[in-house]
Amino acid sequence: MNSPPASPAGPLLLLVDDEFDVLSAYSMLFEYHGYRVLTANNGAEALAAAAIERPDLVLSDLMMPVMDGGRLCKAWRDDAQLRNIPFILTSAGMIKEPALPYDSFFKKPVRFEVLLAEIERLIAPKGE
Amino acid sequence: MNTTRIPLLHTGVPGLDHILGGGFPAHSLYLIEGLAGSGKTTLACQIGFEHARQGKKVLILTLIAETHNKMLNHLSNFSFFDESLVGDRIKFLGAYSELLRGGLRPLQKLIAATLAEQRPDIMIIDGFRTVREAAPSDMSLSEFMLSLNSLVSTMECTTFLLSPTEGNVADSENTLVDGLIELSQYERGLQLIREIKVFKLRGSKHMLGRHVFEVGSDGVAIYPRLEAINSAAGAEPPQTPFRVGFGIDGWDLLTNGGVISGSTTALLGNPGVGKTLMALHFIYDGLKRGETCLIVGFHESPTRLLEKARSVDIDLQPHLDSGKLQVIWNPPLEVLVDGLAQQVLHNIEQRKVVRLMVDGIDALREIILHAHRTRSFLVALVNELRRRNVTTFFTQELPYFAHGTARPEASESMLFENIILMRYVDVGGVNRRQIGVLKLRESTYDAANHVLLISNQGMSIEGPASFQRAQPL
Repeated sequence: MNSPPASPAGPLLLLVDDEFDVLSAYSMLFEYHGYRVLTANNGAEALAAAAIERPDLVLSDLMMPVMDGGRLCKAWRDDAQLRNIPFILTSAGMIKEPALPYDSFFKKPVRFEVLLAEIERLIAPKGE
Repeated sequence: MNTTRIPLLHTGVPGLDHILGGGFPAHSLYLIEGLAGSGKTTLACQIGFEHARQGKKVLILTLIAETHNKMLNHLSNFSFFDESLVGDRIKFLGAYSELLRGGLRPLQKLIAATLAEQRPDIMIIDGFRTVREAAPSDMSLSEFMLSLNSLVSTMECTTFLLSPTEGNVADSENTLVDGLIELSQYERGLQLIREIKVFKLRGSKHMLGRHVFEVGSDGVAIYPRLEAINSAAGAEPPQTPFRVGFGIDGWDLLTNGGVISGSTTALLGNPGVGKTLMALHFIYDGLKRGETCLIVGFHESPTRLLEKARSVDIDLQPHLDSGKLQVIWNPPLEVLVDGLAQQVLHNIEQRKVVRLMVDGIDALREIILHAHRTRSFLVALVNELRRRNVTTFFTQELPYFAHGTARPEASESMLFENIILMRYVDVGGVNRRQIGVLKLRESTYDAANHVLLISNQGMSIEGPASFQRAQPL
């Protein structure tokens, strides 16, 4: 049980949240499921991290300081290098801004299994 | 905002859900603290076994605590223990080696991996104080607590941390959990009293203050403080009052048919003057009318009470046999008053009791643990009886030799709608029983004192006590 079924080259997730404990909990759980994890505390940090290493999927909170998840989502789609990377947005509240270009949205609290299944679906090779 | 309400986790521990306001908000992190022997492992495992029985998965993670074998041995003494659940729905895992090897981070990863792999509904971490001792700084402990809280919330696992500490200090173990519950114990003479207190419970309207509990063969049983229950209770149900007789012909006549239904009556009197007999007449009158009755006694055993009744031609045995009458008898020794109140109120509800005799209120006062509680407890008890429309007679002892009537308590008048005084008076060197009304709610009555006779045919009223130079003893 102490050895998670991870492969060293598992898919890379970029987790974006301003809450330390959320990042910490998700990191440990996704790592257990074989993912590699990058973390960022806001949208600006997420873009900077993605410029260094291209993730396979972004899981971002909506309400954050500096650059929120909505602005990050738009910036993501405006970036030719990133626009095809799946983007999941989560929030404790409802989204006020219409037509944000995310792939999936989940209202918190979201069951981890649901999130995991959606991530697996979004990063699965097309045609599977 | 469409906010999802957190479901409540019902504990199955008698009385606990009541003080929690319905149960623990699920998927949250709780600290149950209490010094060694306070019952925290028993309480947490009792909750665990209850849920395992319902098909839930329970994980018991131990740090420095009892060995799993010892813990299982101790738990096997309780009726909630079910060996068939262990290993299947209840798993025991040791986690101390992770802490020993690398501190908090490896422990945190182990917990995350365990939650991800086992998907438990409930997790119990025993020996949690070890985590504080292993933390290099308060900040790292706070980070650990925050992450753990987030982890159990994400994995929807209601988690109980058990720690041998007391009080509500500003440590992160206390502040960064969703609920803090303390089990404590103290000695009262040679008696050990256990108490539970909910310091905080986010998302729940819990009962404040301390409540007593017992650890018996069925595990933990909590008796919520009656005053707290009564404060939370609703208004009295609407009633159409009617007269309830004393069961003594002459006296019913003088009191215009007796007392109001659902009222409380104090029978005050010197020892041996006939208070218990009078209350037995009241009970017998109800039984003859087919009413369900209850006697709560402290001094005279049910056998002695039956003999006493028989001596005045009152045969209670058939009514005991039929179940129309029950006796709850507890010598006023190591009785938990809230437990007794719960038993009485439960009996009243289950059996739809309409007449109650409490013999006597002095013993009830003796078993109320905290002296300052006496008044509020009795007020709460009387309110609960009124809410259930139970007509109640309390006997209350007066001193052997005293000229006064009752103890000078202002609360007495609030407790009892009706007060009947029975006493001996010396008439020309002969002690005679005298009865009079001090107070009778919503009723006209003959204010004169009357002579009370007791024969093997029961109690009767002779006439007004117009003795010359009669002196109360």
